[in-house]
Amino acid sequence: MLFCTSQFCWFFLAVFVAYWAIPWHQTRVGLLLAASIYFYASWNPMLAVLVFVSATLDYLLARGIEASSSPQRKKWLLYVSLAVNLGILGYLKYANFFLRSLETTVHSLGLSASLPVLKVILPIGISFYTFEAISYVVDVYFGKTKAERNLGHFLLFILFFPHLVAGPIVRARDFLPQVLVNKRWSWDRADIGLRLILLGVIKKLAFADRLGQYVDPVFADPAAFSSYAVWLAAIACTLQIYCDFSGYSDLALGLAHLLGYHLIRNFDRPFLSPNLSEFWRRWHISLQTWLRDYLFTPLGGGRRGRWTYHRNVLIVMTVAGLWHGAGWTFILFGIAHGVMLFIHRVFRDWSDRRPVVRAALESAPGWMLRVALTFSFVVLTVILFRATSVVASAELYRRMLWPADGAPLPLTLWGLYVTFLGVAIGHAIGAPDHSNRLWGWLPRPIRGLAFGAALGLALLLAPPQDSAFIYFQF
Amino acid sequence: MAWTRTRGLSSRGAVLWYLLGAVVFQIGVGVAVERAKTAVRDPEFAQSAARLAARRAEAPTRPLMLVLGSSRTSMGFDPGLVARADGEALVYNMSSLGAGPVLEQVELRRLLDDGVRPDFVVIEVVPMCLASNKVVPIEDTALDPSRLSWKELRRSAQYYRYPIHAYAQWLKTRGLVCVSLNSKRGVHDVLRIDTPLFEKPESPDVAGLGFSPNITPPLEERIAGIQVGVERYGPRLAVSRLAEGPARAVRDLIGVCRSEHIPYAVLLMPECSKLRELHPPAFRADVEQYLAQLQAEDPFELIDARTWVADDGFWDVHHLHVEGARAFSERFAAEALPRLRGKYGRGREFVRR
Repeated sequence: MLFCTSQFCWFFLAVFVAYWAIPWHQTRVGLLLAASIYFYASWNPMLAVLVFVSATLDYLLARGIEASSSPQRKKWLLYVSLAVNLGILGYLKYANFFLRSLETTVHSLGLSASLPVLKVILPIGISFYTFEAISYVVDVYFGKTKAERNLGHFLLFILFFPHLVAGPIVRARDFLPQVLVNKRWSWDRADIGLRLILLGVIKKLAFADRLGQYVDPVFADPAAFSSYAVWLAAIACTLQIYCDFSGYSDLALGLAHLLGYHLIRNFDRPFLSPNLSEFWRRWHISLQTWLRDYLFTPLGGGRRGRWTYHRNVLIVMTVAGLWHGAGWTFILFGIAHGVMLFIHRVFRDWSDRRPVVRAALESAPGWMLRVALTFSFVVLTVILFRATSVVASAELYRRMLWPADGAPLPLTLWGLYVTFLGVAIGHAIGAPDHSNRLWGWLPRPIRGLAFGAALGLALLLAPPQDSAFIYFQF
Repeated sequence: MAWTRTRGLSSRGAVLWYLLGAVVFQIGVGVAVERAKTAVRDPEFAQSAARLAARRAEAPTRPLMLVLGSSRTSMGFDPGLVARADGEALVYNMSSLGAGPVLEQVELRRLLDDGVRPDFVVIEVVPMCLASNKVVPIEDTALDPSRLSWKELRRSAQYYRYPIHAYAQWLKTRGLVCVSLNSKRGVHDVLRIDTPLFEKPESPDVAGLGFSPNITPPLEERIAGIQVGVERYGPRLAVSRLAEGPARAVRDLIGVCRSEHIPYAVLLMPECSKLRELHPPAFRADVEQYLAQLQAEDPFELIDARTWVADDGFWDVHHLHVEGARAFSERFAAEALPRLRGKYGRGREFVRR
């Protein structure tokens, strides 16, 4: 069930009405859990069973860790949990990739090998809920959070349908306390929730799905298109991924608000970042903080010298790339960002020792230049993120970096430019404080009509065919 | 600071205004779509009409032979081939996907209202569309009511077995116009937001619309298509008899031609033998008798081409591929055109009724 479909609307309406009609807290939790299982099972019932079983195992292991007094036993239980979670993720998501890569390597050495192709179905959202489960068990191990005693509450933490399939990656210590609270209807939350849902619908339908119509043909056959078309498609792809994913996140936050839950913000206008380091603090915030807390810091972070710091950053970014997909392009994407973060850090250290340079960079033109360069780098690396193969990405880069003839984009360009402008305006006014103030100035009837018009126009301008959220495949 | 309550305002009031605003906007757009050009409600028809206008502008003195039909005719009737054989008429294929007598009547009336008066009309009648058993007639579900204006709906709903369903569907698509597929396509087309989504590939001899891809399907694909057709239409045709609503719709469509003094012919497009076998004998007799009755009321030319093309000329049970379309159109030009000329004369020298 995609969020922006009539089927989901009816589903959520039924859950919403039943949820607030039920006065008993535990029954409400049970209702949300049942609805979440139904939501996931609507894709594939067997995979819902898999998630249910693996989550239950993590629940039992966490309780075992907390109950155990033996450090050795605690460690072993932690390892079992990590092995099961990463094993399932590795098998379902990466096994075929590694087998194909191994086969290619063997062939390149002049040997023959025919390795099997595993018939696996990739569960939707597996990367998200696996990381949530890992963070929970690790937090319990280090005593940062208590093991949840109520299986239903824990399952709801993993399976809560607004964030189940594409995040944000929620921490148990943020979510589980909310489950204990008996929710009371709040018009404030409903206001916030509806505005977030509106924002999500606009980003997903009016922007992301529209941009996809320009992007898909070019990435399917890059050799057919001109350099200008490829550049436009790369920019469109960057904005499409942002609008699609942040739109989903907004929808998830809005739906959660309507049910009385608060999820963390996942994006903070990343294209206003003046450097890549800032970009990764504003983009997919929940993944970056997860990688910082559960990978970067355990590796030593920046505490063991400069080169260890850079090594750790490179490892984290490579894992971040690989998290997104089982392919060499994703690995190269991660490595590229890791290398650029290293370059940025070196440049920053150099400029910090030169006040004139520092002042120029922090001036308005300097800031704009840095934002433009950061955005350009992101656009260039999106090629790796989106291309179907390394060879295809090479063709795209060739057309971007050397003038090439070819077909223009297949649709009228004014629609594309208007979409670019829409995203730019959204970034400019999109800070919550700022947009709240602007919104608050309008009289209520005008706000109501604006809400209705924005929602209606987003629905009307969306391409007629439904398309899944990009991050569902992760 | 995260998302917070907007300062100084009742959130309850805000939420209620949001909901009201959404409803008001939907209704407003629904009214606008209703009052807007046909292109917004029915982009497929608008594109056909625009192409027809362009063709007529190229050859304003040529008499217009308009072909009204379903996807069978859209894919099977090559207007360029027939026009070359005739040598004089501008032959235009105005067929629409999923069309039956109700939509054909709507389209003809729209053209007449726009001042486009064909000199001759070929009306496709699909016997399957006249069938009814426990399953409602095909056009009751195939025709998207959102394509119709309120006036057109009122005229068309009388032919439905359950008119209330047509009204309910129409109200739903007007009330939720922003999610109605047809309206979205219409808005996109009118605003040129994207490439028109009903852009049908033009045949090399452009004198109308051709929908068929210019390839001959492989045998496996044809066999699969026939199997799908048998499964889809078998239950619809089993123990079926002539449906009153669609039969009246055909009669009224012919009535429009007569009242406008437009000569017409009725065409039964080729059908695969498997589809013909699915028609029960009683239903086939009903259809024959019904057509004979219509001819008795007004002796029109009936072109029964159901057996004109061999089974290997079809994509499935009733859509011709490019070779089958050529075979049918050549035979139409060779056999039907002389009969039509003989009955109705050449050019505009038609027998008036």
